[in-house]
Amino acid sequence: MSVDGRALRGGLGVRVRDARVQFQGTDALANASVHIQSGEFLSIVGDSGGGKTTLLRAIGGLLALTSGSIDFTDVAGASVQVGPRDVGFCFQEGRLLPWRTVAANVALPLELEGVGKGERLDAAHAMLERMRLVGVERKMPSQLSGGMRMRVAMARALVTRPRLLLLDEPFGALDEFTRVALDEELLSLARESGATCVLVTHSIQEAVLLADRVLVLRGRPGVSQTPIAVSLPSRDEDGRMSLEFASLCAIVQRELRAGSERAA
Amino acid sequence: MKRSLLVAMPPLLVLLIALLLWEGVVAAWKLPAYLLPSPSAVARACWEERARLGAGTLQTLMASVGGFGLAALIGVVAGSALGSSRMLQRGFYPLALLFQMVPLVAIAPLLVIWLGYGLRSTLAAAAIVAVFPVLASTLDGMRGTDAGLREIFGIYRAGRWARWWKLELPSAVPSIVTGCRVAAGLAVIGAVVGEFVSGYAGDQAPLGIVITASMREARTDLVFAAVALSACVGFLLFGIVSGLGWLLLRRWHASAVQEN
Ligand SMILES: Nc1ncnc2c1ncn2[C@@H]1O[C@H](COP(=O)(O)OP(=O)(O)O)[C@@H](O)[C@H]1O
Ligand SMILES: [Mg+2]
Repeated sequence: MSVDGRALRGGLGVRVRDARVQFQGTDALANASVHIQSGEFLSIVGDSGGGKTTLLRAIGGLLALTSGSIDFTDVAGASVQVGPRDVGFCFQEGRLLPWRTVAANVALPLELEGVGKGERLDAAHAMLERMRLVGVERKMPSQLSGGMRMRVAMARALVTRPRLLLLDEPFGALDEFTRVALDEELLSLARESGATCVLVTHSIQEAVLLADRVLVLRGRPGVSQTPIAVSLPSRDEDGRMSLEFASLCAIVQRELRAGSERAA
Repeated sequence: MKRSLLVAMPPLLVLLIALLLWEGVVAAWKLPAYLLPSPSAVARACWEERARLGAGTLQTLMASVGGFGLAALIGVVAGSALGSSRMLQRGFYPLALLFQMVPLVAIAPLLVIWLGYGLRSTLAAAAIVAVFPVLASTLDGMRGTDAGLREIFGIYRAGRWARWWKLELPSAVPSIVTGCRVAAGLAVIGAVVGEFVSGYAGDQAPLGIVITASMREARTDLVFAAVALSACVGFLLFGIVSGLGWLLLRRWHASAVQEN
């Protein structure tokens, strides 16, 4: 199957129903339900330890639910099975192989799938070009700045043209400037790829700025609230200064605080 | 260059002073040569017996290098096998630990029975003592593979072979290099001890045989010469292994890469 044909398949819809995850008998995620639309950008915020990572990992199939269900649908709403190419992950630590060059790291998912060397390096190169990482392809990850490493990790996640992109506090370890730049990058990538994006973040501003909807996981263990729809005049500098942006942040903040008061 | 000189100077200086003291002590107390030959006497013996010592050094070097190579190969393969299977590890690792505690001198006669006198036996002796550190460091390194990276390989459904070759083995390289450095020193010890028992006593006699023969002839100067040469073999092997390790590890360390 060619690498390019995938962009047309559209984002995956995700239907999470009464998801609950226990570790050694204690709830990590109490009750999460959300219907993520195909091609939607959903941000998840919540108390630390509230199960955001757990929910994201469950969606990605990295851990099994104790109860509840997660199903995937295509653009038309029909139920589908997901393959390893359909989901891209981006973790805060980047998780690059330190002994591989940037290009070889980005090509890894295709390599593990048995895509030939020429084809996978071409795909990696195209992805790196898109991420404005030309010129560092032959460098080792340890030679890059934190922001560049994160871009490489994003390029790797996107190289299979996933239909669902899962991001777990990807820019949490970066400074403010780098983070804003990468936020903009992520937004445009999400739009042009058509993939559904689920972003876990501890920054309310980031959550609101990027998302179509914000899901608050309240309390510890987390319980999902009704997602807050985000509509902004724009997503750039002006958007961040807008009244709508400020009031949406306040709404999310209030939804969160109600959670911590209950817990206290 | 300047830095390597700075590293090499102090120990060389200490060595020189020690040799001078030694020379002085032997001269002052008029110690007999069979008890403690002076460094100059040892140097003279080295020169006079250069043919015999040269041949012996070559034999010991072959046994050490061959034994080390075999140990590195077997150690990495066996360590990888144990590292990829919990069952194999449970079954074999405790036995490997026990086996490693059997003294080499006790096994050496068996090697003579199976492999005869000569290089094959001494090489095997070197390999036997050197294999365990490589095996253990391979196993350790593989088990220390970052869980996050493992998850990446899981997400893309990597097969067992890909996991080993592309993730676990590269992760284990720093640990394996450390194990190999230990093994390099041990291989020389194994070779010389093996030679005591199973060395071939002829005109191509290895250093271990030179040592035991010279001891019987009260040629203490030759014993010292052979000991010094076996130490040199050890240094050489250690140096080569460290150098190769550095070349491999360069990819893991940014500082080393940027220096080029
Ligand atoms: N693998 C695990 N084993 C045991 N407990 C876990 C594991 N992963 C997470 N937890 C626990 O589950 C809870 C939720 O964790 P997490 O999903 O990481 O929260 P968040 O990402 O919102 O900070 C925490 O109390 C955490 O300690
Ligand atoms: Mg988390």
